[in-house]
Amino acid sequence: MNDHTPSENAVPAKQFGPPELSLAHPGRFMRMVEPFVTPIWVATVICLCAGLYFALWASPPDYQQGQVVRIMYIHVPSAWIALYGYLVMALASAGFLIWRHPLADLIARASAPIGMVFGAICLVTGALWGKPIWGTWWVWDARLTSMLVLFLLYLGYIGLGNAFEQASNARIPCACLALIGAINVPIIKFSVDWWNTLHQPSSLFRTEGPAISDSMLIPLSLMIIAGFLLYSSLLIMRIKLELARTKLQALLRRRSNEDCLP
Amino acid sequence: MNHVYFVACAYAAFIAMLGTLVITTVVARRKTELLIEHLNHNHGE
Repeated sequence: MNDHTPSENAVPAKQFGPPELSLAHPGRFMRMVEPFVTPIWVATVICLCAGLYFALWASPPDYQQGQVVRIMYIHVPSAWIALYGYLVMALASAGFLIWRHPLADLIARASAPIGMVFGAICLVTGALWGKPIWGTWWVWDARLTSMLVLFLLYLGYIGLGNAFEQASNARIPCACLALIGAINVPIIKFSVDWWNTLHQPSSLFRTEGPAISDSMLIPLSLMIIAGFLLYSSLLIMRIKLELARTKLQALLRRRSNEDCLP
Repeated sequence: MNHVYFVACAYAAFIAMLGTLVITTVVARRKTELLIEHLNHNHGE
């Protein structure tokens, strides 16, 4: 038996752009990440359980905010993941526009709903944190407004993707929207430095070191790690879904073409 | 100052939204795979 004979199901990787990008062929990429899926999920669950335990029971209440400070452990990681998700989406869209790489488009489409959900969590938990501490659910402050714009950009991206009858026609407009919207990412990050806002300034990445005590920094770090792991797990799940959808669309197109033949 | 309800609501929203995302992703993928199987099966006949 010839060991070099490819299996029946093997799809030859099409060359897109530079040679190193051939490694990112969707089928090959999924085969490459498949062994890591279970370990990433296990690590996500462990980190999330440990983080939630510390956040809800083992960490002390704040001397000013009391128990409400526990909202921070989900609010901050959600904000980070929402921003990170958009960065991934924008970079993947740039990759798609430059090299027309199918995997880049799949990653961008897969990242959008995840980032949108984390953005929604950030906005909802922020309002629930703001009411007892600031005395209001919402203010049109630079940080809050730019975060709302990020959420609307996610909604717009998903809406635009579904607005075309042929999903393939939506790829370029969606990639352009994702790239234009990327200007909002640094605005969110530096909004607390550039404008006077009700929102507190950065308390983790400062030249003088983190502004919060270790008893709160440890659970927060655990929840941030859990958030990034969860994002990775969900991204792989959504890429699989997008791959299946692409396959289904191709199959339906082939069937309708066959039906049209005399 | 007892604002435990705000904390409970925030964590409930967190779990509900993430749970919805995971469930809809799993269901959508399963439905798509079943449709592909169905189409392939019909074509085979």
